Amino acid sequence: MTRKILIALALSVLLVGVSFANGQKEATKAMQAGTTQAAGFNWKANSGQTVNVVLDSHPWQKFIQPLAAEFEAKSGIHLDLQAYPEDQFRQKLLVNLSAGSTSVDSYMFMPAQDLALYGKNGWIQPIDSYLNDPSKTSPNFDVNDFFKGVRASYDVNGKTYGIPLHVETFILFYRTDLFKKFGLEVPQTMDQLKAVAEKLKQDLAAAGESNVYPIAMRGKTPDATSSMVNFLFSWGGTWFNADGSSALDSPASVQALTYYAGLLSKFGPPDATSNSWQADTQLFAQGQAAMMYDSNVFKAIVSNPQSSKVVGNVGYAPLPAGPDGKRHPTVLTWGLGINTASQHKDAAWDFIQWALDKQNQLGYLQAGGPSARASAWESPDFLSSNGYSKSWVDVSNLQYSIAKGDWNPPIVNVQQGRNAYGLAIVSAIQGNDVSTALKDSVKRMDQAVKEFGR
Amino acid sequence: MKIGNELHNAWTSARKRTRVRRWTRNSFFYFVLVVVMIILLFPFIWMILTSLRTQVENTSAVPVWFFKPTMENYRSVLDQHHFLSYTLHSFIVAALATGIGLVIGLPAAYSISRYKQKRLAFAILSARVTPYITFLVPWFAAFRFLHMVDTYTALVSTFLIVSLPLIIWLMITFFDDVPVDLEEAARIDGAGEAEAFLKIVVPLSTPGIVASAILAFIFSWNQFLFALVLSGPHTQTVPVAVFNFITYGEINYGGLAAAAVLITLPVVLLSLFIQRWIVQGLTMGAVKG
Amino acid sequence: MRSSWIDRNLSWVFPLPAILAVLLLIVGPVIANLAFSVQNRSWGIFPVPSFVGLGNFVSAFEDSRFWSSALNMFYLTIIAVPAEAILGLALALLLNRDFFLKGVVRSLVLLPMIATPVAVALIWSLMMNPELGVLNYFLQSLHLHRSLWATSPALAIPSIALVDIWEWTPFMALIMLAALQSLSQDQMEAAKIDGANALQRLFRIILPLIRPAVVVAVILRTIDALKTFDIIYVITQGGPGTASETLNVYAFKSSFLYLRIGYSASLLVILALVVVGVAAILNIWARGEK
Repeated sequence: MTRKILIALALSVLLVGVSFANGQKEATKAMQAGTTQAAGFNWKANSGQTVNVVLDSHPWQKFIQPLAAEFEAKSGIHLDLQAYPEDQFRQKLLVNLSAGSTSVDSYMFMPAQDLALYGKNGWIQPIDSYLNDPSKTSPNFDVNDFFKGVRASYDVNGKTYGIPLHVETFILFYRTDLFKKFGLEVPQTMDQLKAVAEKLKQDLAAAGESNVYPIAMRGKTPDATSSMVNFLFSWGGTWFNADGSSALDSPASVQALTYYAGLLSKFGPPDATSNSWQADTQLFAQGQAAMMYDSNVFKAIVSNPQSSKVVGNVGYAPLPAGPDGKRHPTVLTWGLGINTASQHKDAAWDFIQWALDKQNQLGYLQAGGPSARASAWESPDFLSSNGYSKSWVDVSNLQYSIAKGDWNPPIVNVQQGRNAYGLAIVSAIQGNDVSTALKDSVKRMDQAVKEFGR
Repeated sequence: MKIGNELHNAWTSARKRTRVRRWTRNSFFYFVLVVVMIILLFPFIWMILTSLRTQVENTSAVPVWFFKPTMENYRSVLDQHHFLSYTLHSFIVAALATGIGLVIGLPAAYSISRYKQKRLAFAILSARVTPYITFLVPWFAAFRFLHMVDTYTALVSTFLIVSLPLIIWLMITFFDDVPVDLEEAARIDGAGEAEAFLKIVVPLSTPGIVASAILAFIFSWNQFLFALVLSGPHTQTVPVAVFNFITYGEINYGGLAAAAVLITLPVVLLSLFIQRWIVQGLTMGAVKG
Repeated sequence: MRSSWIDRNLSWVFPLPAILAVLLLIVGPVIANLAFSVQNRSWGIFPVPSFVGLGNFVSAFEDSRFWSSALNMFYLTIIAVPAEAILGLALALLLNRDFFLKGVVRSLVLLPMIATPVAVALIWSLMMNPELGVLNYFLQSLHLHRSLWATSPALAIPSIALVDIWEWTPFMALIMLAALQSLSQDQMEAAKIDGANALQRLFRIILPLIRPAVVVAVILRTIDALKTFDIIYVITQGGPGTASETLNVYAFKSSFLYLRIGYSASLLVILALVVVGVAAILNIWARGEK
């Protein structure tokens, strides 16, 4: 026991020391900006506690982690942020939440992916009591500043389970310089997208740049599901039929997947089925892809001079329109939640308030992350910031206004469902019969519903 | 005379030919040896090279063989809040698993060796046959129930699965090599079996014990699956830490390699110290069947 | 002669802690796993665990992914183990002599199997990267085709096998080397006098003499190869799709990704039976050879 305490002490000293070293600049800046202390709510109310937060390795995590010292100074709460790459993140979280482990106080989650499961298992804490209690929530928090539609995703049966940290939607990134060079127009429909990809392939080969792929999109299971679903909806497909059976083998779904798989196998990198956003953003940022279809969040990567070779040549376009002439994008959101087993719930709520306050959400937006707060998007500081792209803002807002939120199958065991679809996507990209692959998806999806429900 | 001369010439040139043949055979051998060693060690060489290059150099299409080494990657790994604490956790868990493995395993191995308890040996060693994942879920369920997830107790218990059979297997053959006469001599002097074990057999088998301990430590250190699932913020071990360099945006190749080097270094150093014993231990067990 | 109670009962007191440890840590969980395999259960309180008899096993047999993962498991083993045995033998023959820096070489040869598998596997996946990896650079310099390595469904398992071969050939080599060196000089001399050439000596005399050691090594390696996990998880996570997914990996995903504890347990029961079966068959074959 003594050993544990000594180790914990040594680690805390080490952690605080390093966090201070890292966060010194930001902390000074924040203090100079002046944060108001409101009466009735005390930032230091939970001083001395430690809050453990499990984060997904993600643009928002990258933004917030260096600022930890600022929070610690403000609240006196010690912050322990642990970030993992997505696969390990989900595993760690699952293991810890299901164990009722007190080692996790707060965590990132996506409602469409996790809320049903976490809710049914009682792993996520409703936060209405915090929001409605002025002594627990800073008056500057202004929860209504968050986009209403997005906030709604965090509500189940009248209870709120988290606060969004950003709103994302999948858009088309393209190389303005290459489009100009080859005289290409931004595709507005799926047919045009295919035509553009085809022409790009020829033109790039003719220009001796055949190692640049016309388009990079996700092909890896299960990540590809997130981009494929936009195409599914574009052809009029749905997740489930009225009778509750999976609709993934419908004619619309077959057409959508045939298109997606064809586009990727003909005009994408040969190792597409191993690629998720990590590989695709890298390809685009290194100049090896002329187009990329992925989350608008990744503007942060492709427009960052430190990680991108194509800064200044990036254009943004909305998802092309489907056969019905309309665009059918989806909207995704990550948020922060509190573990029901946590013994520092109040302190965790303080962390969430600070991490998602107006200032930090503005900072995130300026860094290229699509904030969930309306005030951030409208702020003059944002409009005049470095790297501001009107095109990106317009495209994003266009899609937000028409997007649907069911980018995942509306079932409890979402991962099983995503995988059911993902396997068909991989199979289709590899050239196998699309219908057969989707029939297998239906079988697995129905099984997921049978075992876990909707 | 002429015949003598001819014979002498024939004999000298034959010797010369053999010498040349031996010399070429020798250099051929060394050439092959060097090639084989380079192939075997290339991943390590690459690991070290990558850790000393910048991200730009690491992502170039043509490998950069000549460059100015930078320590930036190592600095970034060590700067990471958690890397050092992960290392500490790894060390503690491996040491405990090894220690407890010795305390439990040495007597068992001795008993099996002295009393020829083949069936017991078979039972314990058959633990190797079952895939580790089979244990994982039930263990996890049990630890949850006992509120022991993210504790050293849980991790060490699971790492024992790795260390215990290994220690027992190795020590059986080492104990077999200790002549029984020495113990009998001790018993004639008035010592009991247990005392003979502690005072005679253990000291005599120190090389074997050290080898088994180090091997057990190494395999515990290298353990990935259990740590991946069962550890939490307070006990996270170091193999999992390597994944932290696959962040969003880009794979930090240099940092990854540097982390890989730092993780592998302790076990490599340990193994170099005891290479003779590792070989002996591993092969004896196999050769004697 | 003093003789305490411990001394008189040494034969079971000494092994007792180990037996308890095995019962607690191994036998217990195996039985628990059996119990899970006949239930539909997940991690939390939802869904409520329910008894489904052999339902999970039936699902497994109807699941194409189960069959593909079982096949992949054998595919990997069949490529890796014989390669390791043959290359190991070659390496052992090479090292079976006195030469300058023999000790150093032996230490270095150990490294692939001692180094932390996760770290090394990550480096391999960097080297095998189709666009940036150094292996493709070498292929290109030799005027060969660049390869997709583990990102291609057809090459996924062979690429993993390559890493496994690299990692475990030294193991085989060292065991065979020890066996070679335990051969008496007389036997070697007798072979030479008989007038057999090197190749005949190898096959007719040396190999049969070291067979026992080789057999043990092959059995050990086969069992471990069937259970490979770390390398696959790190390099391909079972992908692309399910091209490199072995039964082990599928069971892991079923538990920790798809949250189907019952189904995963049934997969593990099948896996355990397969491994035990293979081990038993190999043992009988080995004994028969003697």
